[in-house]
Amino acid sequence: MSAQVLQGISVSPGFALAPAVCWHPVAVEIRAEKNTDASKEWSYFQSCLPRVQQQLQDLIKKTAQELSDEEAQIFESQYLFTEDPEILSDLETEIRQNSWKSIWAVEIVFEKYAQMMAAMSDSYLRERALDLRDLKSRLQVALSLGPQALQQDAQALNEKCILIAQDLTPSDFASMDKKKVQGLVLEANQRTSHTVILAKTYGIPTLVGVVQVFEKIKNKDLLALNATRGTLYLNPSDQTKNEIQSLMERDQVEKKELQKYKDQPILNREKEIVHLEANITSVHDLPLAAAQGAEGVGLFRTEFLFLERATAPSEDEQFEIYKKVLQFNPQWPVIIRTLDIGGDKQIPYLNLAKEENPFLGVRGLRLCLRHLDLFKTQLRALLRASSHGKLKIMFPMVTNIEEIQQAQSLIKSLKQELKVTSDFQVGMMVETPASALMIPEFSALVDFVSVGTNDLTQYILAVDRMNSDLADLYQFMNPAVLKTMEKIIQDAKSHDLSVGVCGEMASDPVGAKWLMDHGVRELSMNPNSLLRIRRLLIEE
Amino acid sequence: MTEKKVLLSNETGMHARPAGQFVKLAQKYQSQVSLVFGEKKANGKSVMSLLTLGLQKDSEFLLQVDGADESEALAALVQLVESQFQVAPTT
Repeated sequence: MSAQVLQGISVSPGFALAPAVCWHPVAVEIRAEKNTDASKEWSYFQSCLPRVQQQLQDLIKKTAQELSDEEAQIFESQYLFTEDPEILSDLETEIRQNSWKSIWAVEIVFEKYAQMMAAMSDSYLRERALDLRDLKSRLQVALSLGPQALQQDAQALNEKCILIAQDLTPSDFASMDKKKVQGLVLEANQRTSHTVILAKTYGIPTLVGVVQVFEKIKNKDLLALNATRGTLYLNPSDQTKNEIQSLMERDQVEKKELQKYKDQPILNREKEIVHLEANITSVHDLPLAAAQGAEGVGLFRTEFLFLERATAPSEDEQFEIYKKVLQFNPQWPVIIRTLDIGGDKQIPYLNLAKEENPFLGVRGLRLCLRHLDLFKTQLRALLRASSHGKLKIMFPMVTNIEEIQQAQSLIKSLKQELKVTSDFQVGMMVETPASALMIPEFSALVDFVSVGTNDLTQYILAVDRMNSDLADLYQFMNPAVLKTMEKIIQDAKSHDLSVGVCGEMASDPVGAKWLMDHGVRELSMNPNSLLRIRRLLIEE
Repeated sequence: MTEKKVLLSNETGMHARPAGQFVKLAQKYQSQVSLVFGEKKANGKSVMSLLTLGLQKDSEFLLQVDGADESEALAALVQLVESQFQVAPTT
């Protein structure tokens, strides 16, 4: 076994030394196929069922421990369906009398019930269609692998490992035991994908864009990961092993060391306080943010509330979430960004058209203004929650003055309708060149701006940030991007508009330093970067 | 066969958790359990079947129990619904 060094792009720093687990999503071929022996097929189905039930029991336990009983209920109802006499008798009929293979029988029966549920008037019941389809795929995977199914048990992750994947969906990642995942290596170069954002939140060392990783690495190969430098060692030498080991130990010491800075204020050259805030995707990120010394929430990405479900979250459901986030620390300013999605995301209930150029398409505020029901529901929930803390509402992907005028007039009329008297601020993301050039004009309409450096970089440089071939061109320290940033900051200051940064640039040591030196006093980043950036900016 | 009209009064209606409780209790009895709501009839021992009735808060349905232990079963199930599913099924 010769040692080999692979390079990737570091998205979440840290070190790990553990065997590899190669994660393959199972592709199941689903087609109408008759069985040859109905009794045998039925007993085959029955022999596979207990494995799925066991999987669900494990998920119920894990979700209840890591998240909450409420979230565990999703899997509880799936479990109940696996014991359901009506479903089982329908399956038996399809397999025995209609002689379908079990994978196709599962398709027919679960689709029938899922469609019945999807047609219900009660939105809670409509959601159950999603549970049925999730269970359907779970069963089909189990049936295609057979009752022993050793291969997929790798996903149960019995031991500490470094996980290797082509790409990983957020839901697959969520179902894994994060304590076992010492490191994550993705072949796809998706620096800002949801899974990467989750990996950062959990503080898992992560590399992306490691080419041909599957050809080179097999299950159980020993790996040493230096995600801080972007290096992955396959079958590392003793020297490398020792090196990584001592880096891991130093990392532990550093983590303790960093805690000293948690409550220390950062001052810029003018002796003004610079605030560090957290980017969050759910209520669950708040305790981590607080532990890392966040002084507020600089970006709550609400799109995560809308993904992977059959219908949009109701006004009440959203209200409860926004309320929880605002109440977590009533002293914290909390920027809640309205729905920021576009045609590159799969949200079946919105019926979004496929676009040639989704990043130049109907997304962010453009999308919300075209789906007024959806937008108004979110704004109502936000306005109702505004009395529970320091709310700052923020609109994403703004290009024209008219868009902000329209959004502001919606807020105004909803405020009257709901008789909201509490104070809140309204602001916008600056991530398009158009909005960057029009700060003086926008300043009359909003209370604050926050620069989304990820999108701004891609639009200024005309570089698709998802295209791994162009990764070297996608640089927020490019002079054209920095010139734009300087203009935004100066224009905002001279028009008394507060300006923050919530993109990747704020969590990059060089980027954060540049921003502080150029007068930005609110930096928002993923919670795991907070202490390192705080130390860096204090010590400068 | 014995039957009784029952009013569903809990806030959420017949959602997965109450439906699960109902089914678990119904399965303890030998008798057949059916719920009739409008033109639909559901098997009281199947969560799937119960959910497809779409029972919401303040829906009134007919509970029919048929079999050897029908009166005990009816009494227990009615009590469960009327207590708004607060009564844990006795084990």
